Amino acid sequence: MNDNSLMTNSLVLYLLGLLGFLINRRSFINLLLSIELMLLATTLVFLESSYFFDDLIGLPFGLFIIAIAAAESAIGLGVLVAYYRLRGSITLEQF
Amino acid sequence: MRLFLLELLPFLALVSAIFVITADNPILGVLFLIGVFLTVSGYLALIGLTFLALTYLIIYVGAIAILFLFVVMMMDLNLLDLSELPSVSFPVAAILASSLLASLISLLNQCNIPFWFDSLNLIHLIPSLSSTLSWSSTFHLIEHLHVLGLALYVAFPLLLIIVGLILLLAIIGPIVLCL
Repeated sequence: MNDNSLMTNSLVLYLLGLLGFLINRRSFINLLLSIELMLLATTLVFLESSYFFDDLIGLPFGLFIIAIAAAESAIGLGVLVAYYRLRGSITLEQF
Repeated sequence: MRLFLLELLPFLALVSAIFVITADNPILGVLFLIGVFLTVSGYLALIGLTFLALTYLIIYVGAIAILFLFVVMMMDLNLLDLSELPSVSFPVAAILASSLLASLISLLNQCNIPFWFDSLNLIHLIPSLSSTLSWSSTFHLIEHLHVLGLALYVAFPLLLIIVGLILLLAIIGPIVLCL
């Protein structure tokens, strides 16, 4: 697989996450899942470009992105629990 | 075989991502997200980024997805029926879906079929007839973990400390949120 098709693959993954984020009426958790998909796609772009351009800078940057994604998931789930305590359900009626 | 898996695993990641966003209940969504992480981790392992593949397994599947599952299990979920779809965000969805389709078409136009057939070439099964010595692997003395350690601790130590502070914030923040 050449680099162009892999970058397009990561772009499609990012667009799937964006699509799931925007046309989501089910629950708050689908928002967080779509955010995880988008972060995974951008990490893949960093790692693949560092692989195909023989540069090292993408690998520790991808590691930082993983750490930031973990921190953001933890805080997002804390917001979800607080929202659930306030509303009683996590479905999105008006969004 | 490796080349076939290098083509198959990103495609399986896309299929699992489609199932993530169109799943009925959030538990199925989290399970397909685990599927996405597994396929991407396998793809990274085949590329040669072995440490990052195992890191994906430990952190993404073992910590983040498990955290999602715990929170989903704690909630009382009301499953909405999928018969009603919103009409307000339909133009946005149409624009996004058309751009997605254009990207998919450009992806499919770049498949090199003779490149895939090279993996079935039987001459690679006979080591003496193929290239006897690959010079690139004789210099491959540094592992991926060693390289990442050098980059993190020698080149970017300040960034490592800042990421540690951000993770400390991620520990304290949900405690304050759910007090």
